[in-house]
Amino acid sequence: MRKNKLLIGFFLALLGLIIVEYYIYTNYSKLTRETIKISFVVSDDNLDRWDNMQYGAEAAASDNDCIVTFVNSPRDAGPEGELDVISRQFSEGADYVAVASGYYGKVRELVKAKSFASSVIFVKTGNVKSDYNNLMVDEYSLGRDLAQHIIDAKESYNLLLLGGSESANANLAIDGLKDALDKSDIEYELALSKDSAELVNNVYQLRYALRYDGVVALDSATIDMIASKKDYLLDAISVYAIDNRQESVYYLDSSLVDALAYEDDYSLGYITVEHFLDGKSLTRIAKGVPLYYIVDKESMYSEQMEKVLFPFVK
Amino acid sequence: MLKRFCGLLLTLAIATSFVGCKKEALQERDRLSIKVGVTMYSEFDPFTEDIRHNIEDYLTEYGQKKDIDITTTVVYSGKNQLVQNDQVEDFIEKNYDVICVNIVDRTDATVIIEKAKSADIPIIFFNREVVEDDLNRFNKLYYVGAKPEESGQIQGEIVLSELKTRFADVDLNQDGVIQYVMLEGEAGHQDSIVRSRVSVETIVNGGVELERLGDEIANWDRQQAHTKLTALLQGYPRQIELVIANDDNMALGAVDALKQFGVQTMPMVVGVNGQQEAMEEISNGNIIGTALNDADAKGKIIAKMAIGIAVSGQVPKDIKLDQDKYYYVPYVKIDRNNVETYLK
Amino acid sequence: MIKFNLINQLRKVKRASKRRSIQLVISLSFTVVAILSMTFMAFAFYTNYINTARQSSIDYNEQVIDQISWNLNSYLRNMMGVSNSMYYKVIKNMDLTSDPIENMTKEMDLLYEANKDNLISVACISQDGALISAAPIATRKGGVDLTEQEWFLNTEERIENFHFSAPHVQNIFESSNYRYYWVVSLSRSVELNYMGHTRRGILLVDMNYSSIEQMFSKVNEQGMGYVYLIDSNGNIIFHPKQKAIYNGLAKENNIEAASYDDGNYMENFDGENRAVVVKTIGYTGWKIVSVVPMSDLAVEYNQLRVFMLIIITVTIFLILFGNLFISRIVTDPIRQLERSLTDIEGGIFDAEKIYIGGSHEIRHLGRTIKSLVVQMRNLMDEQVAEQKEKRKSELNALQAQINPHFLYNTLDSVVWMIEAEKYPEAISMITSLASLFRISLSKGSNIITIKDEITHAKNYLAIQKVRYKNKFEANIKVDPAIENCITIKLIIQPLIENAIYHAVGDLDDEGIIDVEAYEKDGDIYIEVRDNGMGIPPEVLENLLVEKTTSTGKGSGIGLWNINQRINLYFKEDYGLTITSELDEGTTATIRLPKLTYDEYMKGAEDEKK
Repeated sequence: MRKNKLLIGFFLALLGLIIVEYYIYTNYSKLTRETIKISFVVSDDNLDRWDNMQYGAEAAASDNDCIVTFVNSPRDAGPEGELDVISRQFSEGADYVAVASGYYGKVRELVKAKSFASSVIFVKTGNVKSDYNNLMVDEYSLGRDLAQHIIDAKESYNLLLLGGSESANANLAIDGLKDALDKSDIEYELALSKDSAELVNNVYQLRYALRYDGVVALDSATIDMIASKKDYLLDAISVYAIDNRQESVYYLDSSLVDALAYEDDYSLGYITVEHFLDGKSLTRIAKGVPLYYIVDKESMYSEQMEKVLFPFVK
Repeated sequence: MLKRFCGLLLTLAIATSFVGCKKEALQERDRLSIKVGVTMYSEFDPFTEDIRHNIEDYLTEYGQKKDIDITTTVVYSGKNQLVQNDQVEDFIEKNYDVICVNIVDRTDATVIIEKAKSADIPIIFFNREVVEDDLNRFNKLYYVGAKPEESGQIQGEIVLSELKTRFADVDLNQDGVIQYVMLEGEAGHQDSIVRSRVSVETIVNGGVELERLGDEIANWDRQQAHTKLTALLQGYPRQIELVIANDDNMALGAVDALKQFGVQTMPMVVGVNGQQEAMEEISNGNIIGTALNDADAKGKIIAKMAIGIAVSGQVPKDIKLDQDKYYYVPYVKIDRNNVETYLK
Repeated sequence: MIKFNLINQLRKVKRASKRRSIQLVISLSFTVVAILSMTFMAFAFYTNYINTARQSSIDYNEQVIDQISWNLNSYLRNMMGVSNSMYYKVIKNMDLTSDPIENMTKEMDLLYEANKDNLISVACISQDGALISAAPIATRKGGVDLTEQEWFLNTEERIENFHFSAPHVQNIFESSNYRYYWVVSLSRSVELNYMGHTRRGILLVDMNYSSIEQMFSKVNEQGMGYVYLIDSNGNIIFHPKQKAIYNGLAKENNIEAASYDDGNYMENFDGENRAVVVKTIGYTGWKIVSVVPMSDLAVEYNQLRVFMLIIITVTIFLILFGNLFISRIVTDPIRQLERSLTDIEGGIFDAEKIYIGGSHEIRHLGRTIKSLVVQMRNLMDEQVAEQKEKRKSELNALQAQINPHFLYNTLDSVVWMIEAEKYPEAISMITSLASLFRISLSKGSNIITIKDEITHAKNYLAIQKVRYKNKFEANIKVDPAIENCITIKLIIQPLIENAIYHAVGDLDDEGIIDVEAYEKDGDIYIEVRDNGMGIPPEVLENLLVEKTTSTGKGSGIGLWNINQRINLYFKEDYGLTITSELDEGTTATIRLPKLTYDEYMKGAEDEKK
């Protein structure tokens, strides 16, 4: 009788042991790590401008079992549409979402109320001083550095700061520009156009006002407009631009643009993904990494700039 | 106590059987017997044949002197790099101590180097120089050759000094410009590229104006040189005033062609290497000079290095190498004035 | 201090190990051996597996690298071939002054078309940086000085060689559609012929960087780790995170890797252990480096590690229990046997309690011990009985002694009587003596009836009365109901003798000796009372102790003897008690079981059985 009890106890203990170890086994021996899905939601009508960020994000994701998808939310959809897109990402299985919002403030508030708020960061948009998860180029410094470049170039003394309706973020860059220019002997005027008609007008103004010897295109639409009207442009007018598209690089290469303030979306994408994967803070990863460059024609083919301006993959 | 000891013994036995003895059987090589493999790019190149001959002779000589049993095997790869790769592999498989390679395609040494490296067998390249990046891939790769710039310069100097004495005779059409024909060795061979360029540049820098009538690749071949020059002679029957050949063999081919064509005034022919026949032609006046590419010295150095490496694993100390890899045998200028001393 | 503790500890263990039970020894040693060998096996297996796995992953990487290197090598050789054929077939024999440049361009176009996928452009450039001919685009970009380009400067270094540049953006030709190409420039020095005058020039073949990039990307997409390409100085030619490295976002050990020879290495970079395989591409000195972080490999081993752990723990558990179980099966009977023997140690020889069970050997052992105990017990019983008998006979013999004084005195009295011609008295005396002896002998039997014993006592009294000239009076009163019960012979007479000698014999007054036999509570009591001076208590205490044989007068048979004999024949409750009061008298009481002769004989037989 005693022997039987011992045997039963023994088998029970063995069973217990095997169950415990099976549990350990299934938990600790996963061959493949969980695939992390990261979605980028950008406020734009198409994704053409976001190639660089995509390359950066994919580079960081490679070898890390991570899938990066880019989704655009049309500008017309407004903040609610953007929130819908963000929510949809999560319902479709995304672990994290990075948002380049066209309506930072509103979307920010809307997201804050959601349960997934902690899995969302804002990229390229937002407020530099915000303590909330957001990663963006220091637009103010960018504007200031561009202004400094203009000052150093000593080519232009009467500037037109020309912008379209496009970007709210340009405000910071404009502030930077203004602050730096105010300290110099360069005169400037700010002309923000509400629509393309006004923009065209302003471009013509460049020529006919006869006052300006330089123009700063504050956004993509403006520099495109200037490029399309370059035949009207006087040679004496130096063109400076803030943009990060391949078109602008071409403008720079073809001497239409004298200097370009180029935001390095590649790094933004890379840092964002690494932040999600490693959990390191954005500022820590981004430390010491320039997120924008002021490039002119001389430096664009330098070893450093070459790699920033021209994507390896095409 | 005994039991414990037995247990320990058993454990040890099991342990050793698990660890597995990976130690390679020590190969106690008979130090007094070495094997040297030589592979030549072609058997029809008299100059490289000269070197090969010298290597064999010196190996035998040193072997007798040092009482070492030396086996030398020479193979020819018939200008085919794939054949040569196989030959080197064969040498490596047969445990040759050192392999001397007169490589076919000097830009394609990868296979040979990788094989030698994985088997840790030293290779002495000679006469046909592989690029530095390749030579740096393994610390037991050596090159014995000559600096082609030197030979080009000597050629130029010979021509210049000749022109100094009888410019008018040479300048057939009396235009003050020397019309010349270049007979190049192989395409891509460092000697032909550099010699061609440096010889011409030396002459031009010496203040002589040159005009090239033709530039033919004759692949170090007397017959080809003959053919190519004959063709040129048909185009320029009386204009050729100077024939610069990348080596004596082609210079001899040129002389053959000139003789056969029956030119009235023999143009200046200059070669490189110092082949016996060419030196006879120098003393005959048909060739004005050559840069002695000392096949004897090359053979001697290669043989010395091969034995040194095979016996003690390192190049003998009296051979001074550039960057521990290169040995350049200097060229010697030979012209009418000193040809007698080199004639055998 | 620690050493001291250690020594103490050791001693403790040693002491404990001395006390160890068989079970402990067996299970402990089995378990230790089993666990040791298990752990060793598992460890050996694990390391072996890890090594094999690591080796196979390195092998795989080497294969991958070989494949890439083969592809890259043939690609580069293909490009060198393009350059060669352009130079030797086209440029070398072309007189740039007389022959139309279009011929060269046409040839270039043909070459370009044939190698479109791998080429971006082919161009021939003169020594002073003038573009002579190019394919597919021949429009040179304004403001670009070709002599300043890296490849231009390199080419003149060693004119007999090809030169491969670092990847760069092609900046020679006008680009359309904002298109820029990353290229690796393959340049060589060429001779250009201008009317018989030779000039140096450069033949530039711009290889499509994306061809190289594709070769590597394809490999990097699959498998563990990644592969990158560096030149002989460690400059990165291709890296999956190239741009991030230039931006400072990622790091690579490329400079260090440039110093590696071909082969595989373990390196620690940026706090990470990684397996690195390096292979050099011929001619260019480029190195392909494959990197696999050890943590990636470790993921695969985790499963194995856990699996091994489970196997080990389960096996150890099984072994532990198995050993305990087996040792219990083996040692349990031994232990039970041992426990059952503790009683025997205590002196209780109960053969039935001895455990018999377990394996054959132990059963045998148990049986043997049992038979030993039985034998021993029999021996002991026999010995006890023997002793008893011996004592009985000794005591009996002692009892049977007739004091020679008594005999002499009696016979002397008889002689005196005969001399005095008191024949009837003499006859009576002799008769009494005869009766005395008859009962004394009583056919050798030690057990006689009370009646006979009383008769014996009466005869004795009769003789003594004569001798003591009726100095005392004797009353004998016997319950007739018990006359036929048994008693041990010669127990009353000595008491009377004592009473005469020590009590009434010397009395000045008339002494009285009362002998009374009666039954009480199922036992028989025989009292011998005298009215003598009594026995002092200190003497009384020793009366029933052996060896205190009465000195002087008396039959020499002690009271102890009587007591002993009663004890020997009956149980210990029975025996002799003496009470005495000084100056009052002494009472000796014999207590006997009430048994008839037949009953006694039957009881004695039973006992023997």
